[in-house]
Amino acid sequence: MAELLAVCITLPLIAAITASRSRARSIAIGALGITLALLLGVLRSVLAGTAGASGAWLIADELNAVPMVLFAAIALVTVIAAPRRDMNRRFLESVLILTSSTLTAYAAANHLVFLGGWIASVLPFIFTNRSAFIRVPLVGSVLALITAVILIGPATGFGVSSAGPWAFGLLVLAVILREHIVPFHRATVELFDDSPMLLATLLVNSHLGVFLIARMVIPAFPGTAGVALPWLGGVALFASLYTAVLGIAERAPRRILAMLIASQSSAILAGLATTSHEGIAGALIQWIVLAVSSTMLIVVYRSLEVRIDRPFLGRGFMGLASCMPRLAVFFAISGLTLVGLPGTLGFAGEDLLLHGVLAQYPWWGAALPVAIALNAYHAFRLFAHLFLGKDEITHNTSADALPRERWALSACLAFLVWGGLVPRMVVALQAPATAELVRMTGYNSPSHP
Amino acid sequence: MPQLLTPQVLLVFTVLTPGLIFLALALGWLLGWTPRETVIVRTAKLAYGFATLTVLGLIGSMWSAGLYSISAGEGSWYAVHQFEIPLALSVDRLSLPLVTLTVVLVGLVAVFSKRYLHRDPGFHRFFILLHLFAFGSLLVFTAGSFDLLIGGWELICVSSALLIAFFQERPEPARSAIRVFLTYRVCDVGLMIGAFVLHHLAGSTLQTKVFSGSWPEQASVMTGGNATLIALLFLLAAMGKSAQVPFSGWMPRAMEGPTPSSAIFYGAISVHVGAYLLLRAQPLLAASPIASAAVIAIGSITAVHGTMVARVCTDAKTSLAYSSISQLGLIFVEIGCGLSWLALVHIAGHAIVRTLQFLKAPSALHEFHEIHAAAGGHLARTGVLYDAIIPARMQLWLYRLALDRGHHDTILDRFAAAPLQRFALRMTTLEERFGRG
Repeated sequence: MAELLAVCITLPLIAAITASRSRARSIAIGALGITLALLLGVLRSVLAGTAGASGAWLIADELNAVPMVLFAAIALVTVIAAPRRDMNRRFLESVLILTSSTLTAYAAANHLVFLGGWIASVLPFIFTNRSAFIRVPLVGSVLALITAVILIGPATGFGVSSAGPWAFGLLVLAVILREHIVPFHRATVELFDDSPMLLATLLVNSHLGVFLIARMVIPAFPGTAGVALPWLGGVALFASLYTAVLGIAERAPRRILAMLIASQSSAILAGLATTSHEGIAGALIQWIVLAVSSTMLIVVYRSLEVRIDRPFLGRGFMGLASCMPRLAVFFAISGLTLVGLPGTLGFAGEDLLLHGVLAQYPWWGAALPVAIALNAYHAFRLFAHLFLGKDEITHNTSADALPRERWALSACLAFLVWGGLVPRMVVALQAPATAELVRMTGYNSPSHP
Repeated sequence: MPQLLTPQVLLVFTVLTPGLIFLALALGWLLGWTPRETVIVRTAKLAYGFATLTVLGLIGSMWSAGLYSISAGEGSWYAVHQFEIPLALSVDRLSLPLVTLTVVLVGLVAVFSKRYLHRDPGFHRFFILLHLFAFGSLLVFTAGSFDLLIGGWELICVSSALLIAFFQERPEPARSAIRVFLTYRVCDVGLMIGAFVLHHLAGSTLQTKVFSGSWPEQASVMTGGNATLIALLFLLAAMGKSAQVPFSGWMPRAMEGPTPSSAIFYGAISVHVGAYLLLRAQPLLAASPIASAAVIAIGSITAVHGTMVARVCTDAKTSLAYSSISQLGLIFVEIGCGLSWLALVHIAGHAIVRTLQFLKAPSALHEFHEIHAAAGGHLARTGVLYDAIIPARMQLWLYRLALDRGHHDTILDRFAAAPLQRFALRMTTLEERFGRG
C-alpha cells in the first residue's frame, strides 16, 4: 500500500516536471486521472479492511483515504474545467505540486513526512504573494508546526505524546493559522484577490489544519484535546459568524466568495471540535461538500471573469443568465448546496453539523444557524448580481458552459445530488473516521441526555 | 384495491410525482434538451391529473378502512451513532386536505400558465420551478418528521425566490428576490433550532414519537418551558413564511413574480405553510399558554395591519397580498385560540378564493368597469363604518401609517440591517488599515 501511495504522490510531481508547453493540460489530466483511480483503489481496500500493513513513511487508513480521493478529484476537476487563459505552465505546475504535497501530508505516517507535505503545500503561495495577510498566517503555521514537531519528536509515528502543553498549544496555533480562523481570516480574502483563484481554492480546500487535528492533535494529546477542543470549536463558531457578518460589507464577488468559503471552513472546524459523533460526521461530510461546491463555484466564477474580461465590482445586476443559463444553474446549485440545499449532500452535512454543534454549545451554538443563514444570503445575492438583470455587458454574445466545463461540473453536481438522495452511503464512507476520532477523544454523543 | 396500490404506495406516488418531473426536466435541460411548450404543459397536466387521482385513491382507501392517518416508510434516511433522520411520510386529517389542495391548485395554475406565459422565454424555467415548489410543499405536508419538513420548507424558499426573480431582465424582481430570500432564511433559523431542541429533548423529531394521539386531539410529550421554547422557535419560522408582522414586508415585493406563481405561492399554498407548521405543532401550543398568547397577539396585529394597508394600496396584486396577510393573521388567531378545525377550513377556503382572485388580478380593472356599468355607476363605497367610528385626525394618522406599510421595513432596515452593515463596514476598514500598517 505504501508503494501505491508513493506512486500517487509522485505521479503529479512527474507530470509537473515533464509537462511540455503544448500538451501540459493533457498530461496533467492524465496524471491526476491515474492518481484518482489509484486512490479510489486505496479507498476501496481501506473500507474493505484489506489495505494491509503500512510503511514507516506513508499510510492509508480510514482517516486519510477519503480526503486523498477528494483532493485528487477536485484537482482533476480544476484542471479540466479551468479557463484556457489560466492554463499556463506555472499554474499547472502549482496545481500538481500542491496536489502532490497535500497528498503527502494526508498519507504521512510520521511527523516529518507530514511536515514536509505541509511546508511544500504553502511554498508557492509564500513566494508569490507579498501581502502580509497571506504570508504571516502561512509562515506562522509552518513555524508553529516545525517547533511542535521538534518538541514531539520528528521521526516518531502518530501516537500518544509525552510532550508538554507547549507542543499542544503550537499545534492548535498551526491549525488556526492554516485554517485562517479569526483573526487570520483576511488571508482567504487576500488569497482570492491576489492569487489565481482556482489555486487558492485548492489550498483552502486541502483543510490540512482540520486534518492536523485528526491526525496529530487528538492522537498525541487525547486527554488535553477532549478538554481543549471544545474551546477551539467555540472560537471557530465565532469565526464562522464573524466572517459571515463581514461578508455583508463586501460587494466584490471574489471577496464575497472568500468570506463565504472562510465562514463555512470555520464551521467544519467547529463541528470537528465538538468531538461528538454527529458533529464530527457533519464536519467530515461538510468538508466534502465544501470542497466540491466551492470548486464548482470558483470554476464558474472564473469562467465568467475570463469571458467578460473586465473587473467585477458587484454593483448592479449583470444579467449573465440570459447568455449563460447553464453556468447560472451550476452556480446557484453549488452556492446553495454549500449552505444546505435539500436534495443535495449539503443538507445532510449541514443537518449533522448543526445537531453536533448545538448539542455541544447549547447557547453559543445558535451562532452557526445564523452564520449559515447569512452565508445563504451571500450565495443568493452573488448569484442574483451576477446572473439576474439585463445583460448590458455581453449583449447575449458570450458562450454558455463549454463541453469540458459542462461535463466536469455535471459530474460534481451528480455527486452532490446522489449524496443528497442517498446520504447514508456518504455517511457510511465517513463512519470509520468518525468512530476513530470519537474513540480517541473518549467522548459519548451528547444528543441523548 | 389491488395489493400494489396500498395507501402507503399512493402516498409515495403523490409526493414523488412532481419531484420526478422536476428532475427529468432539469436534467434534460442541463444535457441540452428543451421540450416544446405543449410537451411541458401536457406533462404537467398528466402529472397533476395522476397526483389528483392518487390523492383521491388515498382518501378513498383511508375512508373505507376508517383510518385517520397513515404512514409510509419508517426507515432511516441516514444515521450516525444514536442520531437518526427518519425517512417517513404520513398523512392525517390535517395534511390530507392540504395535499389535495396542493395537487389540484398547482395543476390548475399549470393549465392557466399555458396561455399566460405563452412564448415567454422563461416558460420552461417557470414549469421546472413550479414542479420543485409542488414537491417541496407536498414534502412539508406529508413529512413524518420535522427534519424532513425542513427539507420541503427550504425547497419552497428557493423556488419562491427564484420565481420572484422570474422576469430577470428587470433589476427590481432580482432585488425583491434577495430580500424575500433573506427574510425566509433568517426566520428559518427558528425552525432549525426548534427541530434540534425537539430532537434533543424527545430523542426524535418523528411526529408519532413527539406527539401522541391523532390530530387534532394530540398531546405533546413536552410541557412547560421546553414546549414554550420550541413553540416560540417554530412561531418565528411560521412568521417568516406566513408574512406576519414585522416580517410582512416581503409579501408585496414577492408580487414581482408572474401572476400564476403569485397565486399559488402567496394566495394558496406557500403562505399557509407557516400556519400549517403551527397547526402541526398544536400540541406544543396547547401545552404553552405563553406561546399561544404570542401567536394570538402576532396574528391580531397582523390582521389589523393587513386590512389597513390593503385599503390604501393602489395596485391590485399588492392589495390582494395585504388582504392575504390580514386573513393569515386571523388564521394565526384561530390557531392560538386552539380552534384547529376552524383554522384548517379557513386555510382551505382562503387558498381557493385567493388563488381565483390572483389569477383574475390582471383583468381586475376590466371586471370592475363591467360591474360598475352593470350597477349603473352606483357601487357602494366601502369603509363607511370606519369613517364613522374613527376620528378624522386619527384617520389621517392611520392613513400615513398604512401608506408606509406600518414602517416595518424601515424599522427592520434602520434597527437591524443598518447597524449590522455599519459594524461589518467598520471592521473591514479597521482590518484593512491594520494590514496596511
